[in-house]
Amino acid sequence: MRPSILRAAFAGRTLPFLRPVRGCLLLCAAACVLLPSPASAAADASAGSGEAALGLAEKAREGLARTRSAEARFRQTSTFDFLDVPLTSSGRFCFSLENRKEPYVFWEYREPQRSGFALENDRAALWSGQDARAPSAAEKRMLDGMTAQILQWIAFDTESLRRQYEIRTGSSDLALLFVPRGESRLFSSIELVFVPDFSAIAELRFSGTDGGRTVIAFDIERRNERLSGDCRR
Amino acid sequence: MSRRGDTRPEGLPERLSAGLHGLLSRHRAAVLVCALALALLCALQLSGLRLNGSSAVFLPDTDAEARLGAELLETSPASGLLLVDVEARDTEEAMAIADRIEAAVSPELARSVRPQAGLMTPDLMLALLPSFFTAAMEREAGIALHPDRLEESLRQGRELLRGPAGLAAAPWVRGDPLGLRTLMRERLPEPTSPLFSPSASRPVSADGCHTLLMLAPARPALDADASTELVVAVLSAAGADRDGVCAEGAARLRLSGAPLHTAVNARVIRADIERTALFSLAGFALAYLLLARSLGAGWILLTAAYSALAGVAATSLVWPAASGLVLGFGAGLMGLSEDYAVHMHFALRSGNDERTLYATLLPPLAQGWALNVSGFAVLLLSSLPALRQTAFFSVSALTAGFAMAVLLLPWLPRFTAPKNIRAGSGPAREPRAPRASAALAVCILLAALCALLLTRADFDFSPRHLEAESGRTMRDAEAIRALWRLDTGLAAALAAGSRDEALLMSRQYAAALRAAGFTEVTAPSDFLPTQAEARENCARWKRWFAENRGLIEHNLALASARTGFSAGAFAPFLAAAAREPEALGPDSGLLARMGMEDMAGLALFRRADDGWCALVSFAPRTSVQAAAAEAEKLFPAAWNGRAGLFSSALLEERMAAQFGEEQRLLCAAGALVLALLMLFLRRPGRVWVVFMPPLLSLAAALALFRLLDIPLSLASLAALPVVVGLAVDHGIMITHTLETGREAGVRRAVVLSSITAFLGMGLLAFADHPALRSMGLVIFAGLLTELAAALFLVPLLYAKAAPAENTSGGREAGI
Repeated sequence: MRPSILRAAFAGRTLPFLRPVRGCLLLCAAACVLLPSPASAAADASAGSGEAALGLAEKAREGLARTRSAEARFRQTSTFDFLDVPLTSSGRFCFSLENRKEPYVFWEYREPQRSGFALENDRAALWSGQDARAPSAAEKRMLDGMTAQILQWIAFDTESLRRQYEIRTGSSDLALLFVPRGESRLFSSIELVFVPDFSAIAELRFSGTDGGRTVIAFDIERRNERLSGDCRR
Repeated sequence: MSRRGDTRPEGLPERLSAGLHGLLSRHRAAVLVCALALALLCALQLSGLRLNGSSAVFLPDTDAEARLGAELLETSPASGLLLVDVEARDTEEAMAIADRIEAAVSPELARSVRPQAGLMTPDLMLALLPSFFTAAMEREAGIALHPDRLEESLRQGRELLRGPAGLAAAPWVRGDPLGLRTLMRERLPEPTSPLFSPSASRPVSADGCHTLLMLAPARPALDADASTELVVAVLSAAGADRDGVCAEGAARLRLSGAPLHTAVNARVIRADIERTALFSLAGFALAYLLLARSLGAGWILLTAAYSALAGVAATSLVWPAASGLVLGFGAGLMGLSEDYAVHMHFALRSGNDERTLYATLLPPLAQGWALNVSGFAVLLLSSLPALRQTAFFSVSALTAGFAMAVLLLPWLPRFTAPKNIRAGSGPAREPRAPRASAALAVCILLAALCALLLTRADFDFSPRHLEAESGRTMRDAEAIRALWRLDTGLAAALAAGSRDEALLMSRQYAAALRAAGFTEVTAPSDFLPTQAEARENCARWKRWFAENRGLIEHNLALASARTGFSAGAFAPFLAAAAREPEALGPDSGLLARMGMEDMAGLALFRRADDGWCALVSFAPRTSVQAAAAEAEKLFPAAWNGRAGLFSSALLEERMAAQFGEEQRLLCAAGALVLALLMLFLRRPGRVWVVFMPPLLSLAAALALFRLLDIPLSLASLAALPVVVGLAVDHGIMITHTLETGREAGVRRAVVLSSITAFLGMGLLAFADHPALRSMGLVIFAGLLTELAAALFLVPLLYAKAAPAENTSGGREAGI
């Protein structure tokens, strides 16, 4: 027996959300979607989504390619049929892709509670309230993976996106719908709603597997400018 | 001593030999029948032989822990896995290639082992929980029921729902409002590898460009044909060449694991044999055609085969599962056995009186045999089973070869015909005597040279360096280990009579390790209860839930109202918790639902002897040796022989240390051979002369390895006895010729014997396989120098003998 294989055997064995950081990391995964994905335009080329989706994707590819950095306020609304009222929260989201090899991502909830994470180069930080901490080894590995995902989205390859998602036209002329092709523990679909010139995303709409729904609306404050101090913890 | 032309035997050995000749010639039919019967018995015995490929035979009998570890290192399910790392431009391409490989590998070849469990759901968690529901957990669950705690739990769930992760968290918030999952946290392994792609069904590396396949071969990994078929199927499916580079795109495969090693070694050995076999066979034919020119010489080859057959059969009588090393060594030893037959053949064809020749040849041949056998006999005292088996094999095979050569061959048809080998040919026409001082000086010089070369020699007893293409396979294995964080390197194997006992042992040992600071160990008992415990825990859960159901519903309703959850929000939890619990066990189906069937099988498995074994694996450590030294102390005394720590590095270190200790036996063997030589030859001058060829061979082999900057390995050391043995034999026979002045085909025999041994194994110096090349180089250098020493240098150390000395020397030498 190679003992290392035994350890490998347990790779990926996890109970989702058993650990507090997991929610934050999934948030990070969702944030990946916000990043410009220039090649996503062609991703639906063979997905059977039709000319409309293709045209929209091409516009999005061109538009998002023009955005190298952005700062935005966001408002998030989650609705579940087993909750009496929707849950709302708000915060700030920033990213910079000026240096593709060293992307910077900042996501922070500010209401009702302060919590978030930041990724820069090979460093990651997590915080909740006033408590900040470096991720554990396991969390760091996951964050590394997240970073890789972000890079993958940036360097986007059409075949890759097409294989992961079925891409369809969304609920409006400014929306694209991404439906995971395989089993997803995160969501059943994501709809991206773009601003009119397709240079940024105005809204993200996640649909859960059991009827829940989360909408994140962005209010872009700065684009292609040096990130302000508000994008640092 | 017999003078040239005087065919009358004089000394006691000669008279005994002559008597034996007379006896055998009268009862040749009986001898033949006995030999045939013995051969049949050997063949029958051989049919029951089992090969033992375990490296445990290289570990001393007293080190039961290391031997258990070595055995399991080779026989555990995970040891046979073929790991395939697929690297591509992106995840999807990697997955597509992995899909193609899985589709191409039929169930008869291997099955895919999922290196990760399936997706855990709240429903499955609640199905598993009863099996783990200990008394301590019951207390924790009771606390979770407290209204304040329950309200806090629901508030936390609500916060979780607030983020984008809330969608995925929703089933957990509804399915586990008490937070019972936290009670299970310690019972399930930590995740170590990210799995990010929504569509990924296999692990994906952090950069998204790699995926990992684990293939469990249907047949043993040591099955060369099956392993080759499997590796070829994997490479073909991916359109990759032997190095794993795919023809299209930028994809490449990296393979690691026992089946790969078997397949690569089988391929390289096959290619080496195919390449050298033609030259060897042609060389054999040419050598026999030029030097023997007799059909009777064919019996010589039979002697070599007979000796090997007898050696293996005798060894298998004592060790029914003999080490593969014995067979490999046997191939080399055939050259030594052949030597006796060659000398008999040429001597009996020399045209002189057969009875006298027989009588005068037998003593020096017997001396050579006795020296070789005594050297090997000392190794019977080794604490390493492999060395003892090899020694026993050598003693048996050499004895059988010698017996066949002197007892049987002379009576076989055409063996002594035609009588066309000229007696007295060659330069040693007059009896000579050794120049003792010159011989001593040469021996001292050669011994000093050998000592110097030995101090400068590199030794590498690592088995991995005996493998073909080890550089590439090791690089790939390292890359896979680094990428997938498989670098634990150390595990404890715990052998038990039953599954439950193995689990209990693993729990006890893991607890001891954790208390000693090894906090990151992983044991199967972490995620598997024993059958008895599972049943007891299930009963406890059933009772607890029945007793508390009313309270749970009441408190949930209260907490829901305070935290904004609707009335029926937790119906899924109540329904799942009320189900009849199923005890987690090998046959329960829960493991399969968890997707942990394969994984559990790697950590807890049935051994060949129907016992069970649990593996406790360690987290990566800087120094495996240091960690092992500490962890070894934690085995309870009662587990002696049932628990062992192992890793490849540890095993290699122990083996190297053990071989170092065995050097005293080699020294003892050398001393015994020297003492016997003194006893046989009486006069130091002769001893020094006889010692010269083996010393020169040894020096040449060591010098060649030094020049080529190749470390001496187990394979090269295994070839040394063949060279040294032949050199001793030839030294004795040549000195016999020089001192008697009777050529009797000895030089021709020495040349043929050396050439055939050279053709049989020396050509392996050009092999690609490191083990074969290593053996070949020793034979190549050793035999060339041994031949030159026997034919040219030994005569230089002889001078014309004074009549008195000549006569007395002959008597003392017994020839």
